[in-house]
Amino acid sequence: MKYKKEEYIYRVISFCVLTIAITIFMFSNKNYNEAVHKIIDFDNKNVESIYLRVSDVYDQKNQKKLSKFLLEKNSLERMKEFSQIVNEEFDFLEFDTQPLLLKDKINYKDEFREDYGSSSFGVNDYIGISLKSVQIGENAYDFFSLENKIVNGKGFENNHFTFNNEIIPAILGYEYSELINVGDVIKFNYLSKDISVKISGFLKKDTSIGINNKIYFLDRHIVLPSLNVNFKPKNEADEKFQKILYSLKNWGYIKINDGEDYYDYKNKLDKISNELGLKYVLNEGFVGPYINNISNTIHSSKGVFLIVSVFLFLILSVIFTHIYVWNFNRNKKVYAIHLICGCSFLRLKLRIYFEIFIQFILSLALASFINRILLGQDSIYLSEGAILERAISQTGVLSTIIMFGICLVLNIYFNKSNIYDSIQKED
Amino acid sequence: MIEFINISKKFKYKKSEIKALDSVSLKIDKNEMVAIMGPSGSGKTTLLNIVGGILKQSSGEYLFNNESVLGDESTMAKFRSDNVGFILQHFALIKNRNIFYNIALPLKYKDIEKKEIKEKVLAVADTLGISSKLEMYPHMLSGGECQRVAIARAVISNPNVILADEPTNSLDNDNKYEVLDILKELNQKGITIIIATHDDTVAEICDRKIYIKNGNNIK
Repeated sequence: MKYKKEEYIYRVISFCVLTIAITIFMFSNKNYNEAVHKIIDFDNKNVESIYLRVSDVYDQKNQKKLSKFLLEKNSLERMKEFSQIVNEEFDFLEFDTQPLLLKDKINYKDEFREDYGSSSFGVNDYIGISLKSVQIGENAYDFFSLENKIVNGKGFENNHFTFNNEIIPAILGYEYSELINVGDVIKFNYLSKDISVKISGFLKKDTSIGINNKIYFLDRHIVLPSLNVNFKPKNEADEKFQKILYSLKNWGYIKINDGEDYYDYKNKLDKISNELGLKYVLNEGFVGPYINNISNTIHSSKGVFLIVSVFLFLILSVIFTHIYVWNFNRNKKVYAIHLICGCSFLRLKLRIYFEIFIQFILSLALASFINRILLGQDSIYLSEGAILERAISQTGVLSTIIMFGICLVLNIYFNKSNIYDSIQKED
Repeated sequence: MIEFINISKKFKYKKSEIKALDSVSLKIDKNEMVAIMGPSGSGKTTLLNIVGGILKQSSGEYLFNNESVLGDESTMAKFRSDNVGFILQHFALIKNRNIFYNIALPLKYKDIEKKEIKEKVLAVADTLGISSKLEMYPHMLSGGECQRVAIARAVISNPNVILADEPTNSLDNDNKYEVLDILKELNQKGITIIIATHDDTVAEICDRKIYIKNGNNIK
């Protein structure tokens, strides 16, 4: 019984060691990938700039209710005017993440759903399936060079940003390309209005948008133009749609270049907003040393964490190998008995390697689970799933290499061991 | 049946080489019972290991039934499985497995159905008087009983030759003669038996003695 207990203990210990190693590496890899994306998005594009969020303060403490404001006379016209002015006066980037309620039968992956990964996933199927979507203004579309990231079909044209009650063009993230074709028309409900969306093109794999310390990976998103509506509402429903649309459109980002005074922008925006009787403010909540220093910090530390984790992985792999060597030596006599009974040494070794393979597979699965569930989602990353999946696949590759390395080392050790010594006396 | 032609075996030890067997030539016929004798370190076990296909010779030729015994690990494993049964001084039983499992082990590496394995184990255990011990574990048995289990394991796959390395060293006199009687009986049933020993009383029951000293067979 003691022997059997030891067998279990050694397996549990080796499994734990391996799982810790893989979990740490996967976690580091995920962080590394995030850092790399940050560099791509902040450093390469425009690290000298910061983006300040324009938002409204309706529904906040001691502030007017948005629903009440929308009922006010000329509220739509005032919001439209605000939109026009901020686009003229500032380097204003319209960008929003409003999901689309699917009203059609199309092929989609669960990962495309807005509620995917949340506790409410699948709960509201009876109401409808909401797919992840971003709406992007013409300025932002140019700024993020999305036109250059179209891999199939076409991007948006200038007139696509103006709504004329007809079909709205859409660009889909890369993962949609295997399920939907360019030219397909899909029905959605967008901000209370039923719309038809025509697929004009697909984005390259891994296309992302980084803005104000947030990264949006678009592989699983539908990209719609942030629409301008130049006509008056024809009915109540139309008015409701336009009001909601503009209340969201005005939540954009103002680009402030390095050295420029934040308060100049803030005062200017406050003035525009007050003159129109609106409650839009320039948000300084996200601004901090993090953004300004992000380039330097990531440049200096991005590799360190990863190198340390690889080193740790290797050390833990050495410990794992030692556990197997220890167990092999402990079981030498049993192996020798099997050999004299007609078993081949190769068969014995393959059995050990198969066990190692299973340990790696299980450890990888458990590490993925730990990274996905226990180490959780970073709230500032909307599309962290994509980073995690890449980290898992990269960890899988490294694990495979390390597994072969361990088997190779063990093979050399096994071949050098004279296991028959354990059952034979000294001659 | 077994022929060694100038067999040598060298082992590497640190940076030097040790010659365990040096140009040994010998012949053992079918149904013979032979004692390999010599002092400790003379090369008896090495010789048995080469006969049993556990070790490969460094040079020379080993013929078994007039065929050269040489091949990869799988070929040698099949050779062991088909032709050889081992009996060792310290019994070499798996401690955490019962006697049934220990006896049946060689059949595990042959394509034999469970039912047939059971029948064979029961038959051989009955012959050796250990059928009541099959559910027990090695530590529950006496030395003599353990060696009977080892003999049962050695004969269960009907080998052509049994290699016994100091089979009576761990036994008292009563058990020693019992084991020797069993080996003699097996020999009379047609199995070639080679015993490595330095015990003259063991060698006396054999048909022939081969002496080895410093890796050479001298007689």
